[in-house]
Amino acid sequence: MSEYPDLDDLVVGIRHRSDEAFGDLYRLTADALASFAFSMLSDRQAAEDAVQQAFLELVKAAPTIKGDGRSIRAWLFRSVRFTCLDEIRRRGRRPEIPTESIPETADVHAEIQESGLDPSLESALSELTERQRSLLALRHVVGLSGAEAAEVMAMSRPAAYAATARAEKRLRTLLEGVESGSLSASQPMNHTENQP
Amino acid sequence: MSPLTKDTSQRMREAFTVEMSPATKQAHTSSIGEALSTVGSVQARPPMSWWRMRVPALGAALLVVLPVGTAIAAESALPGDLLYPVKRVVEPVRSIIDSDVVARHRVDELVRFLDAPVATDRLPDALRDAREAVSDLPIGHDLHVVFDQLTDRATDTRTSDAAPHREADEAPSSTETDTERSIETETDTETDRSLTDVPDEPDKHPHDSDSRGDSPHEHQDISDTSTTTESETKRDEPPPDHSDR
Repeated sequence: MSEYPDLDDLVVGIRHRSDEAFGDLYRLTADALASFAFSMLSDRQAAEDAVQQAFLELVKAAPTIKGDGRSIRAWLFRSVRFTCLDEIRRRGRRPEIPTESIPETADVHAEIQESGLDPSLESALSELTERQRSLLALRHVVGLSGAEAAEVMAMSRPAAYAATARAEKRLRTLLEGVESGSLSASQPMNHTENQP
Repeated sequence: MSPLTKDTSQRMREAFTVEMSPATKQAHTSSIGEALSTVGSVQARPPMSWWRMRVPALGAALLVVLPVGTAIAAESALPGDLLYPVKRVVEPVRSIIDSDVVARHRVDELVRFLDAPVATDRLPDALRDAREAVSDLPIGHDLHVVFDQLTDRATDTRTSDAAPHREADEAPSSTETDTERSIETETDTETDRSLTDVPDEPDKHPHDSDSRGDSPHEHQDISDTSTTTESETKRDEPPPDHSDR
């Protein structure tokens, strides 16, 4: 039996660019996609924009879509991930802020708290690579299976499982460090280490 | 067993699970609807018929074996003619160079059945075959217009089936001559990107491990690739040298 029978029913409509099919697909997947994007960017507005972008891209690519509902779901997550990578890269290309201009630690901490983010968790996640963060988000935030996460990440299943295990171990170590005080929980979010 | 505790997993879910507001969703669906109306609805590619799957190799072989004259003579064959199978077999090979040859042949056959001096029971099949062939063409191709005109003619022909074919008895009109002329015209249209053929074999996009249609846009993966156990496709840019700390 298909994992996503509701989505399977929409595949033909999606390929025909049916308004109704796209509406239903959006209704069934948008929040999960936004959650994934938010876990990547920690920016709600940017996350919502990434979801919209994914659907606009699907409109263009619709006639070429093959497979079942699960494939379309994986396609959307991949698209959101690419948009998030673009955004991360774009943020990293911003001119370096001179040291004296870096906000006070307390301000950053307040910002994180205001945004509703879990400071320790966010701080630990920011130390992970993008790939690790993506895998953890797909598995633990969205709740995809290992096989589905592998499909989204374009990895073989064994590679995805191994990478996820390493990411989980790394996150646990980082969290222990943050919560024991050896790492500051209010460390500014820094994705620049992921830049080529 | 996951090295991540249930508590941490739960924390991640709580921290990042999002439910977009109705206003945001409405805005999104509006923009998606706008994009759909701009692009227009597209007829999905029909499933591969036996001809398309098996015939190219057969066609290439026949071109080698048959005299050139036979292949040329087959060009004008109609369904039911002796050389018609040759025509159908050679078409996929020709379509490598001349992408709309199949559609032009089917439309030409439809015209000839419509012009036939007596009613033919092959007309419905010819109409169906022409429709299928024309549907593969990019939106905006001239044959779409031609086929629409022929469909109208076919409808008129059917409704007056009981009566003698007065149209067929009349001399060919200038419209019909124009139609045939336009069939033979080489059109140079850009393929609509939305109808770009996706290879049937898996799309080995760096971010794809599965053949599931056109991939989202390519991007450089900026993540850690230093681990040797992961069999990932190499990106164009050298990844940052990270090692698990």
